[in-house]
Amino acid sequence: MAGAHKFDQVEYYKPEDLLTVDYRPPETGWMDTPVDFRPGTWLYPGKPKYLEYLGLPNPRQWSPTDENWKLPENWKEIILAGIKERLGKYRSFKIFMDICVRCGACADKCHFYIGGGDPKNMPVLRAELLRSVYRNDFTIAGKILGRLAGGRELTVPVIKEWFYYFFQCTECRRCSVFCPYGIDTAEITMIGRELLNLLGLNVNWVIEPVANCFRTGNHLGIQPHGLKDTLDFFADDIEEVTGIRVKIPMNQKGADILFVTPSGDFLADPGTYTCMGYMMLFHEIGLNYTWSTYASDGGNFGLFTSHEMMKRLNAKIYAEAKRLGVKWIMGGECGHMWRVMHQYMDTMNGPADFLEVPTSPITGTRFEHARSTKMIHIVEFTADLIKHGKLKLDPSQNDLLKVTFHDSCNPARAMGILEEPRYVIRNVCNHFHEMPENTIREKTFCCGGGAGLGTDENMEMRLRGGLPRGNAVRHVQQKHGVNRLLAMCAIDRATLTTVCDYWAPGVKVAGIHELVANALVMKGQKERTINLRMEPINEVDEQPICEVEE
Amino acid sequence: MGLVSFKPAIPKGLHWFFFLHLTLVATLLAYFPFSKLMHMGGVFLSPTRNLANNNRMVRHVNPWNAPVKVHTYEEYEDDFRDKMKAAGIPVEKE
Repeated sequence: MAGAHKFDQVEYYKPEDLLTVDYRPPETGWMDTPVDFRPGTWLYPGKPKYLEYLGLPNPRQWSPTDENWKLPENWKEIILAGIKERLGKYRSFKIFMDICVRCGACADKCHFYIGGGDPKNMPVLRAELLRSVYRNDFTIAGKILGRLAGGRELTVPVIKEWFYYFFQCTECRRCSVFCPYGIDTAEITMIGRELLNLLGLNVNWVIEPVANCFRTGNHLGIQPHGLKDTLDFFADDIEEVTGIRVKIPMNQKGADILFVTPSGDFLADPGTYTCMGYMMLFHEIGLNYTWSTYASDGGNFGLFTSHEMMKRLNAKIYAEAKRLGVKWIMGGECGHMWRVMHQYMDTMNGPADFLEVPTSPITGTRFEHARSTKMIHIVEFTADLIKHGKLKLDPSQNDLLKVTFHDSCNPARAMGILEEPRYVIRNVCNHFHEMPENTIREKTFCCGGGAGLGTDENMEMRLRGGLPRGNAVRHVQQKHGVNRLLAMCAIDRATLTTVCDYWAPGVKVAGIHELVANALVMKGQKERTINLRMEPINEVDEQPICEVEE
Repeated sequence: MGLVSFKPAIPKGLHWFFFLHLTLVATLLAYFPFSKLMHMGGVFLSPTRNLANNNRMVRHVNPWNAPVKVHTYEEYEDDFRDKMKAAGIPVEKE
């Protein structure tokens, strides 16, 4: 199954081919157009061993291109009962099924539709895939009039269509910003994926990390000693750059703060530089914090599986905070992790009455907006430090970078963190240029690889979905010479690297705290000549002359 | 008003066009309850519209918050105790 195919490779796709998007709908009506599993546009299914480990239904070998998906015999009953149960549980689902008037305000807001032209990637039609079944079996008009009332019978091809299109939605919620009713397609996709999971239909790029996360505490399956080694390597690099050896507190009881970050920061560049940034910042301000090997990932691919799975993976955060006896929790730069922490954690696994309202030990600021969850975002923490003048920063150390900022879907749209990152960025670099107004803040475009879709076998959809964002990056690249895209999300840092290399070559991706750390003037540091990427921080002259500019 | 109370009184000397117009108005009135415009009420019901985004400030209680199977710290430590000790990471049970 694994192994390189040509459609896994970026080079297989020619930009001129992807740019000629055909927006004409197919000849046949949408209900009569069967789904086409074209390589490069769908994800490999979950391997049975992971489903078994997690106790999920119907583990088996199968492929979406198979005629027979080996569904359980009573699959139809399972789905209909599943829909009924969720209609009772989720007001959002019930209302979103009922109120859509199909006005089409959302239609051209989806990055997959913009870059792909498939009408079923219009959020309205994506929801309609499920809504048509709802009408047929759960509304009076649909029961009597059937297709005339927009209903259709639940059949195996419908399930196949769900699988294809609910795993072509990144749950970014851009469409919901434009919907006059506030219909949130992400919620519909989430329910759709929950229903598919009842039949054992899920994708390996989600379910393998979920299984890892359940066992080792993080999606990458890093075991405790491995995490320690990783952070030690980072400390080595930091020492090389700054001459300072930072301490790495692990599973320390009695620390003030538990720090939780997405595990993507441990594994792959450029996230690793951001992780080094956290470590340098905490060292410099003398924060009494701890990492945890058990709560070693704030990210939660359970969100892309089911509400139940999200709760199962999230439980470790409060449990570990309680065990270690910390006062409050701080979270790193991650996207969907913050959707879970902000929107669900307190409700699912709270109340966190054993913690205190987060208060910065450096500035004394009480973070009242997190008084129930007891967890704040590191960008909020850093912005507060800068505001109170507690950090010595030299933005000129980032002078080679011309920076733009990509609002990650979840922090921007789910949490509303829009100003803090910009405040921090303006204080740590001298060249900051915004992308066009309709592509940032709450209208930000998705990276094209969120919600568990950022894998290589899905490359065509990732490149297509990344087109709107890539296009905006290219715009500021041409206009202002931007060469660095900042994002506070681990998935962004991974997938936007591909997107930028393809649509705006020359622009590299970085986290905010990488730049913070580069600009941070640390006590007792040696003269900084290289940044965390081991690149020179000033222009290298052809003939090196000792010429120091103030 | 006669129309609404189902006792229409027809004045004399009206143009035929008025009757056509009246029929269409009455049809629209009769159709309105089944039309998409009735979905307008949904604006006030939509949770993304009528709930404040204050989840970290205030605890929202879920009445059916069902218990789930989790991997506890004790189980985790049982899985990795030797490796944790070898790496110098503190453990609960020696």
